[in-house]
Amino acid sequence: MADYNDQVPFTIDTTWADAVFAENPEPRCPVILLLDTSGSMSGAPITQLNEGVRAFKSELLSDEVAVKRVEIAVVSFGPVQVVSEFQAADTFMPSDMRASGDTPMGAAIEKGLAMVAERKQTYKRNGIQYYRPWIFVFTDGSPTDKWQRAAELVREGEASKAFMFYAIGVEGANMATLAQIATRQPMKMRGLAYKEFFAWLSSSLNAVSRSSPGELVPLPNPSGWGYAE
Amino acid sequence: MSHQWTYAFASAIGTSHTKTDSPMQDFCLCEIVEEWGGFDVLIAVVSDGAGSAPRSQEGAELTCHTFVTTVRDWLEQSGLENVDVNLLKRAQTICRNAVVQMAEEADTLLSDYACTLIGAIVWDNQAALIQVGDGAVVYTRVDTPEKYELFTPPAKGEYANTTYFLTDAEERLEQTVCLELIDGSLSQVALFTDGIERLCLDFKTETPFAPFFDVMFRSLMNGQRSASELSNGLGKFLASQEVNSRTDDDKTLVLAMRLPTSTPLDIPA
Repeated sequence: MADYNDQVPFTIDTTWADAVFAENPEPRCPVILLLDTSGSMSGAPITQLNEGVRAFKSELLSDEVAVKRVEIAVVSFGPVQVVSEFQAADTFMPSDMRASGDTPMGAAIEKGLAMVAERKQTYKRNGIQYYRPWIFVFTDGSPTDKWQRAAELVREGEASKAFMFYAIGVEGANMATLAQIATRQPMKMRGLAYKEFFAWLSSSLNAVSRSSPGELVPLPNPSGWGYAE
Repeated sequence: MSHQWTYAFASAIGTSHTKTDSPMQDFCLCEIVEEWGGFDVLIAVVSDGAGSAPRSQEGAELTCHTFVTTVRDWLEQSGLENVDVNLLKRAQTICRNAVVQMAEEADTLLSDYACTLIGAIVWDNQAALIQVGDGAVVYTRVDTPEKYELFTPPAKGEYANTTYFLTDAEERLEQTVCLELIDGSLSQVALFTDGIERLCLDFKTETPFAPFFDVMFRSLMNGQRSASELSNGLGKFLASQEVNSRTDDDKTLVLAMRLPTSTPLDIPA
């Protein structure tokens, strides 16, 4: 810059332009997907789910802000398994999930909440700002384990604004139980609209991950993939 | 009498606001007032209107004007004697009441005008600082010119997109406002909104990022230029591609520096 400016008389702007900026880590927006992969999901449902998750990754990659800020974790249940720890979209490698076993939703939710709490601690330790975590649980059935403790933890977390918890029922899901777990109204998915859901999630995250203090972020309408019963 | 201070202040709209056709919601003011006893006093204020509040730019502008007018009147009428934490608190109440009145006259919600407030009154051997919400004040003292100090970290809620506002309920404001009378002579002062926070503070250590302020204050010292010329240059800098590639929010910076030739009088105790 100096060699260029030396040829013109001094202007104020050139001195300001020498500014050196602090390199802070980007604020992060954690998202965790708790996915029912029980036996009843075999066939088209699990295939659509796997495709949806892959499409989610590529949609996030196409947004320059979201790719730096959104972190995704995946837990499947049937049995409870951490498919992917929290990571940015570019390193997130969704491996195909297979359908098997029962539906330990309660344990999966507890695992997910613990991972979110731990992630927040990691952010704090490293001076990283973060947005309120998003938790999504998907199921096509009923929990086969005790889910009351999970429901209590969800209630507490929602009340203290520790996270946002959304429950989504696919065809066959016990919506009544979901309504007892989530404090927000559960959504019913239209058919197997996983792709539409993940497109919606990705544009919602794009909006939230660039929001500033005090800003209410209008989320896109979810009617493309689901509805409240 | 020539002023003891050189200063610049400017705001620039964020690219995210340009994209969505929303207005710039930051505002700032800075001036030197000769108080009743004849001393120069620096008054500086910045305010960031909430993105979600439809009239927050009016709130921010009114807050800044009210703060400066109120403090200026006090200084001209009764000098520095009564400037303390209580007076800052009164300034806060007067600013808030002005916004309350504006909301009532427009028959709208107070939260429609939600905005932050950071104010500084700096004189020979003390400074009074107030902060509600995010953004920050960074300063150096005459005795330790190399050491940048942060008044208080930007008051965020837990999350990156939450903060506190002057228009919050009074009980909440009571909890979130930061007021302090700093003993000692400040040599450099910077006030800024959250739009440039990530460029000039190290978040991990919650400390000012010295290289940024070094250049900013060096720029202020370049030649005997008027506040409006300097502010013009600062405004261009804040609107530059360099800055915009690192933040898409509105950004505001006030810089003031005590001129080296006019170090404060050493008054024996």
